[in-house]
Amino acid sequence: MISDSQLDSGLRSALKEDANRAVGSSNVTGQVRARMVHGLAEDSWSARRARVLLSVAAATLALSVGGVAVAAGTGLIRIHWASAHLNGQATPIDMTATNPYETTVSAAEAKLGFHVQKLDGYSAAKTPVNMPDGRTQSVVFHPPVTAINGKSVAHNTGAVALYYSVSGDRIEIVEQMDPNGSGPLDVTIKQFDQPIPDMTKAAVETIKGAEYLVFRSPSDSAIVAIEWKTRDGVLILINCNQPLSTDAVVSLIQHLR
Amino acid sequence: MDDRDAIETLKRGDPEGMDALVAAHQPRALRVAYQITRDSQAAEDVVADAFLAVFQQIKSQDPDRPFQPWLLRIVVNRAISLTRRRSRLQRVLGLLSRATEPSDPVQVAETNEETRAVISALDRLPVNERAVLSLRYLEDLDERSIAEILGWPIGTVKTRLHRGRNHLRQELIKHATGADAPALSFIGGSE
Repeated sequence: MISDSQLDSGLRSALKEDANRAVGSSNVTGQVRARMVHGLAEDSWSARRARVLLSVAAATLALSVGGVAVAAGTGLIRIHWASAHLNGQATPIDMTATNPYETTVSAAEAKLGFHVQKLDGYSAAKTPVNMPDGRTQSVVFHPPVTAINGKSVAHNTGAVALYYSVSGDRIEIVEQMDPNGSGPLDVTIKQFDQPIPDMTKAAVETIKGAEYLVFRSPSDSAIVAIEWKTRDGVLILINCNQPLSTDAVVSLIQHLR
Repeated sequence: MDDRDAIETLKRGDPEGMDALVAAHQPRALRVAYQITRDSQAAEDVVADAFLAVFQQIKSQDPDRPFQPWLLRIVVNRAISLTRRRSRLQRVLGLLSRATEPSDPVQVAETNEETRAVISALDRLPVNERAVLSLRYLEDLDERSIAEILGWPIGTVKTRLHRGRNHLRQELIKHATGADAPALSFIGGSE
């Protein structure tokens, strides 16, 4: 007969030993982060980070069905404001894509088919970057999104994300070919029926003679993210972990090679 | 950053809030998910899914409500659901083939006989009983906490704990008396 205390003790130690052996070194941080980027496009930072990965397909879909508001901007960047109720439930976008993975710039270029711009000549920019969970990250390839809400998405080549630390601030640079080719950068942004505290403000701005889509912090107008399209048709998005001044962001852009 | 700060950070749209929650809670979540699914890859998927569910619902989360029971409830429910789906599939596959999976020699060598016997016996228990035993003995949670996590009445938790331990005891005795049974030091005492 097995006594209760013997059973309890054997069970306790067996469960712990077995679980620690099987998943003691597992870490889902990268998977969670990647799926946060790919899996949801809500009203805030998740959409901001995911925009380069998704915008082309999403904007193409939206424009093709004619369900988006009239373009508010002209030139290379067009914002399409989509009305939304503040209290409404956000609709998750079901993305189909394989998981992102660490790679090198040259391997990413081979996949993407274009020159990836880097901050290599900028002495203030350091890579790899220590992430909050203890990992280090430098170059991450995001495989192409193959379907959105079950509809296949064509002309999507994936994206690369580069990570730098600049004066202690973490910078993420995401690059992807725009399948619209030479057409404008079309961006769909939700416009809520009520003001939202701390919501970043998006606008097309001309900085140093070029057009950028700029997301600014509502509190101090510092730049949270900035996006543009190069003459080669590449979409570039810079995400700032801490909002930066316009001058600091311009300096980053000028050092991209 | 504590849970409350992490939740507030995430609500403000800063993903570092999620990183902090994952770093603090994934070890326990992974252990529990693994002991229910008995598959490390499935456990990772379940836990990642659970954190994504947290992310989707974070705006409605009361910061005063303890985070861990909420997360574990999602983890356990998803792990049970996944295990049941896989179990149905395995039953179908079992009809097609009686072959057993070869043992991983490294894994076998790393796991002592007592642990193997207990784990093997656990594998034969219904998933509900495995879940409640894992929370009680792996995570040392009391019955009230388990009831909160699983969303069961406390009486149900007590019943399933009792039944699970008895089933486990029977499985261990049954397999300890076989010709190729391992020597189990904790079997042989008397109640």
